[in-house]
Amino acid sequence: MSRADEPVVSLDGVKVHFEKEQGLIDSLFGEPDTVGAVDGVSLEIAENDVVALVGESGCGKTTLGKTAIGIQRPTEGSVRYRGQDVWEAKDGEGEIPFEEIRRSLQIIHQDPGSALNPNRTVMRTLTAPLKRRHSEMSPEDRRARVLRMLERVGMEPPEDYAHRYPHQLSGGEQQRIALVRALLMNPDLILADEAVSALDVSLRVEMMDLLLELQEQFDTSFLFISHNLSNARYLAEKSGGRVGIMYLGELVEIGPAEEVLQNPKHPYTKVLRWATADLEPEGEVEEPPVRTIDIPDPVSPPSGCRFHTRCPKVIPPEGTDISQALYNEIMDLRNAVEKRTLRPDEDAPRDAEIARLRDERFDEPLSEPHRERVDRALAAVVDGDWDAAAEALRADYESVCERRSPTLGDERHPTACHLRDEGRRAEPSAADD
Amino acid sequence: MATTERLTATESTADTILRVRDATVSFEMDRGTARVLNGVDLDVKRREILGVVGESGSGKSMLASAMLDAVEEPGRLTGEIIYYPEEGEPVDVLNLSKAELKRLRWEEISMVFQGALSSFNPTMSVRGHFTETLRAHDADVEAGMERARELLSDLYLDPERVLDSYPHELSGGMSQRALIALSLVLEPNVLVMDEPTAALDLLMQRSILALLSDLQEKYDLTVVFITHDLPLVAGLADRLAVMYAFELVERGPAAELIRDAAHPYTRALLKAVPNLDAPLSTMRSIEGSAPDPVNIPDGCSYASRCPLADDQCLREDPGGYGAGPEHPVSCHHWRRADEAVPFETEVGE
Repeated sequence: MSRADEPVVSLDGVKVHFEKEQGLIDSLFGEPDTVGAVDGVSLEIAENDVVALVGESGCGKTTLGKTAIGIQRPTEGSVRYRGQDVWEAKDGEGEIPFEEIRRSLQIIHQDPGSALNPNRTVMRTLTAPLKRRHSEMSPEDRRARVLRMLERVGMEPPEDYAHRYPHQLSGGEQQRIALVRALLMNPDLILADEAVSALDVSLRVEMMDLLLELQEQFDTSFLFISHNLSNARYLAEKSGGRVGIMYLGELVEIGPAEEVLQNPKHPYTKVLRWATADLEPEGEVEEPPVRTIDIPDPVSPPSGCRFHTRCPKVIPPEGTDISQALYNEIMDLRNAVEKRTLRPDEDAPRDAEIARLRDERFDEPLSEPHRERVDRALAAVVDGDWDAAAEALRADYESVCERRSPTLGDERHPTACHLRDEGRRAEPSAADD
Repeated sequence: MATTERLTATESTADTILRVRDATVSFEMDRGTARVLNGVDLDVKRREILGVVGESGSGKSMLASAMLDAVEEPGRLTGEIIYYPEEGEPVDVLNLSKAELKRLRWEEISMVFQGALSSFNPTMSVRGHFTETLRAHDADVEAGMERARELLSDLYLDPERVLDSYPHELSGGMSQRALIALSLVLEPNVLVMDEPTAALDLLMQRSILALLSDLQEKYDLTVVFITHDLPLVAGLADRLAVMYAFELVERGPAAELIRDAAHPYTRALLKAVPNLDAPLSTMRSIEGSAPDPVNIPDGCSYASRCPLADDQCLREDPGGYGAGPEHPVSCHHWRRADEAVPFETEVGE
């Protein structure tokens, strides 16, 4: 009755934590280097919905996707399929059988070549699941259905393609076969994990158009995962869907594609926009608008807003008279002190060494009282008292961004960023009351 | 002037550091001879950043290997590759002894491939890779390591930490940057990079490009950057060369090529790239597929996909027409390319 009105999938406060050694090796699709934990993500995917999740490797987007289709068990929180808890169903306690849930939630992979059995023809690859799920179908019917689907995804003449082996297909054709295999299950939701990234540039738009066409024809929802904002934009904007931005296990911004792209709110979303090069014939190669280009280790993510260690707009403490540029350099110094990556020369004269470290770290002019504070901290570093240096700097420069985790609201286009919560009052031009 | 008249572009060769003539790579297969690089001519100019753009299977990696006589068996490379050092005699790359080639490859022209992890030895620390490379070339190890540290910090890496690490302990972006530093430790003049960032996140890719631009200036490098990603190199490169079906179909100053590409394929490729700002309706895939290297058609290889193709295109291989003084293009009908494949919006706006 009300089943049809329920979202296809709803994630509520989902957390997925991996033991470091274990990693993903134990999971079904053992990709070795993306151990991305998910930390408290809620997301609903309705019927006929398109959601594109974007983020850097290790941000947890693939893990979140696998959790959404019931192949990764969350450590905390719940995943529901049409209102039915997926893992209760798995334990045999639901109204909807787990088998049906698994059939309804399908996946297509980044590398279609490795997802297809090299020793099977296209026809065998595609009739096998039909045979399993629809044992009542006659072999002739199964073959006819496969041929119809091949035609539908533009593989003509279908009889010709049906007898080929995966190595006789191009990357784009392999990806179509993977898509047909998923569609034959008549799914409610398809997880497409970097499904077009491996394709040649000249074929991507065509593949995405095909995905959207089939989405409409079959009323399938899509959860599309990509590190490429342009591809995400194409799919989500064309289908009136949403774009969600992930950073280190958290969803930091989500909303209608056009709004997120044209009016990004989170500083990280703006950085991703910069990273998506548009054709600029006169373009100068600009410096990246992040304070560090490397992502922190997801095993021990930063406190508060996880982006604060790279954010160019990290908020200075209230009432501190400091430019953003200088504050950013001080925050980078704090990070270096905490990680003990400064390299003081113990044999050099103390004052000269303090000056050398200061010059090395600061491009911005150091006004008082900042210069005095920095020198005091650097003196402690030269004396080997790293903890005192870190503590002193923290006392003077701790940001709200490291103290408190911003939360994602439930408006149409929410973002998890303190700049949105607090307005612009902490910015230097408006530092006074 | 009639459009069919041949104009040979007059590219100046005075500043050439690497000259490629009629470079061809063929493989014997059961089905016949596959020609995966087909008579490519190219001059790389001293201290330029040249972007070579092509889709997978276009032959761009073969061109990279050919520049260093590094085509793997059973591929056969013919043609001529000449390296012009700033001082001294030109070097005929395809006629060097093994020892001469080894010296050339690291000390004059060095190379960075996609996927740093497979280029590193997993059981050796990053420091070990640097010292071993320096020793193998009889370089001063102490001075070399000093340079290594500088290169690593140029690439926003913490030198000591990275040198002490094993390759698998570094993230993809870090190990790729460490590999770039390693490729520069013997002070080569030319850096050939084949998809050096393709496996990385976009943010890391663009960050590395910004760093490369700094390195090129600081160390007076000539850079050949080979990629499938036209927008990625568009802002970095001084000149662009576009490959299609094992041949170079167009090359010219980057800005000119982006704004006013003369080959229908280049124009179609520019429109096929999804981007953030252009209207969705202007983005189009290129219909059809590239030819089989065993059966490269007579005439123009792009004819079967080209809206301008006519009898002449099917018969006659389009040689170099001049779309500008430094802008050769292999298309009989390049003057009509902008009408046939229009850019519906201003690119770059």
